[in-house]
Amino acid sequence: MIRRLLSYLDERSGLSGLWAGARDCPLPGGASWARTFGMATLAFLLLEFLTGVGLSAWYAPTVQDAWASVHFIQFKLSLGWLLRGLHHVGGTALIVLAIVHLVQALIYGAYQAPRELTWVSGVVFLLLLVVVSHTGYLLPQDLRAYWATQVLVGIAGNQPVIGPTGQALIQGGPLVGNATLTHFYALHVGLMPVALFGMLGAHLWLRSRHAAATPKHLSPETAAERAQTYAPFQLFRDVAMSAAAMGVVAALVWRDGGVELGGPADPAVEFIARPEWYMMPIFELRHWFTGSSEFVATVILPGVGTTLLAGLPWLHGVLARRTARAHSLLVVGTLGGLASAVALGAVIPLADASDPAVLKTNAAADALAAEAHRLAMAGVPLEGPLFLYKNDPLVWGARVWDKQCKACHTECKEDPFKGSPCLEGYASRTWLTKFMKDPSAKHFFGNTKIDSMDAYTGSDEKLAAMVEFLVGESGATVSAPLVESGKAAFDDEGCGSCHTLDGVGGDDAPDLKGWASPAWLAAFIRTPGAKRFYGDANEMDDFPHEKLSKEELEAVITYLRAQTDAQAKYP
Amino acid sequence: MATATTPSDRRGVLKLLAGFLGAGMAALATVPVVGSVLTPLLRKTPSAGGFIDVLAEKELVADVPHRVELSSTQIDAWNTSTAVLGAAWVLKKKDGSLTALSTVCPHSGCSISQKTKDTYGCPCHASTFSLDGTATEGPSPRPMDPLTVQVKDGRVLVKHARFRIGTKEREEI
Repeated sequence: MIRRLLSYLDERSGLSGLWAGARDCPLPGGASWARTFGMATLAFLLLEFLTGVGLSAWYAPTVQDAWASVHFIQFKLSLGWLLRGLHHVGGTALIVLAIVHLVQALIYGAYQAPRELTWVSGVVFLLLLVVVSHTGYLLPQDLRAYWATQVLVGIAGNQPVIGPTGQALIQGGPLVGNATLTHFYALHVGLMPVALFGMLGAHLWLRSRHAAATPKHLSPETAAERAQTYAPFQLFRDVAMSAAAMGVVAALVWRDGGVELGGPADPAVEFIARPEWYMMPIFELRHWFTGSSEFVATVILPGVGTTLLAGLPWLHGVLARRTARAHSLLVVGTLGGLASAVALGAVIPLADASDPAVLKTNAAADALAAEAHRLAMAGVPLEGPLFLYKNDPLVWGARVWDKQCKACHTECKEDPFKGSPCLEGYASRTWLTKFMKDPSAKHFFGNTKIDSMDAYTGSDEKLAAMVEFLVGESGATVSAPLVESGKAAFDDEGCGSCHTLDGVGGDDAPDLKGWASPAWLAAFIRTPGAKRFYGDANEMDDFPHEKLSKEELEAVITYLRAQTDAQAKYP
Repeated sequence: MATATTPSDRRGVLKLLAGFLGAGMAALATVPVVGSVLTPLLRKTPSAGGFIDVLAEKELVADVPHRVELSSTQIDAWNTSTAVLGAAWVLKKKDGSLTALSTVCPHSGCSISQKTKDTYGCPCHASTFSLDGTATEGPSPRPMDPLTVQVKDGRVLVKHARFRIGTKEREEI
């Protein structure tokens, strides 16, 4: 029944004839592993297509959504990490396999007449691969994608005459934004796949028209003698090579748990932008040709290289009229060019690997990515991933701290840079204990005008009780009996002769009612020189609304109050 | 040709191996695609039961009405957003019992505010209600609409609901 149905279909479609043609196609010189890379390239193109369709079902190309949706794919979707990992690493493998296939065709002499167009279609296919890879690079909208795209559109904009127009067209507007994402997305999932499969179709049609080339290293007689049909020997090798390459790709993805997703695109974050590996040679050349000659690195040299590569069959024709070694010359020349590109491309990655500045910035970028990831697990705000930081008071507080406070309250070190008190571990029991034992230490009031507070020299029990009492004022959870005895010790030690506890304050020392509580800190940061706080002894700037918004103030207070014992290291 | 001398069983083994490896590649490419598409079936989003966390119970003062906003967090794939659904008057009585009343006036849907220490009032048509929600003056056809309220781990939780306005009988919509 099935047999009859199949033969009915075949009589009308002729598909079995197509297969028979491929199966019985003779291979001069016989099956070989060197010939497998073309089919492996095809296998990876199909892998990219399938995983790409899978990804596109979950991806949203807008500035607010791109990073969030990729984060969702990576961490919330079943097997999403594998989907994205295969698509990313598979893309790299696709380019590598296409280049290896090109080198094999070159060595076999398969570019020579009458196969010129087969060769050219392959070179165009390779160029399309570079375009499809680049347009995909932007889509995750992480720091790497953002900066790489800034560099790319910047290069486009620097070209003589057409630069600014070209840049505006690529970006879809004056800046990299929503329209850039939708433009790149349209190219990546629409035009480029159609162009790639079209070019592949042309390549395969031309290949079937001219049959397989006879390898240059075999004499025509040997090649004919060793000839085999495509199936099953070459077919098996093709499938085995494709499967082996895919196995390597899958193993790499498995080992790393997919592909890294950096922190969300953020123009304010320091980042060392590096292009994809296949663009490294051009990146290095840009160090040689700067300013107005930059287009030599970005257009002229790559353009000349590509034209020579595409024109190889005709170059061969010209050379063959002068020398019998035309083929060897072209093989050596092309491989030499390839080797120089690899050497050029290796310069920066090798230098980066041991550059402390690069490693430090990369470590900071990794920490940022981890933080963004942690926050994004609860979902990303509609306003976009940068609001993840703003919506978390602690993370936002740390950023406000870095921007507004750190210039004076520097990082605590053995030898502090400036006189402002060291606030790492602020209001923790450890910090308070250290402070009360030595308020005039250089980490506290040592370099300020405040010099009237005496160090506490009494018993440790009493000190612990007073510390507990103060911690209680800040609103933290405390032991009630200890607070009782701490309050008694406070009065007993005569603290009250300078510090008041009624929310009004005397002239000599800060009022300690609600010390380090949100309300106390808010009032203090706004007006540290108020009579209730340091009065005339104050040296800290006021932070009115214009300098520190209400939200920033609240965030920085959250940050200060989240300091822990472990952070208080000095003195 | 060389192939003519090769035993046919060797051809069969190669064909079988090629088919096996080919199927492996096809599986590698399709499993993550199908797996990702099946996510909605594999992972159920937990439902919060409709209760909205409004404030800590200790923030309430006995016999003093407290106005709270009812906003719920909504998750749509990778986005979270907060939608304000409405508001409620929460009252803790001296005996510790809690009530929550919708701020939507049953008469024509305006927002009811506190009028005096012991009354609520609607600014649109001057309906007046006692703190337990009973309509005392004005055109309101029925008392204020109660909302389900509970305390869990020291937090006050209120369930949001909407009611038909202008009718004597209370009907949830």
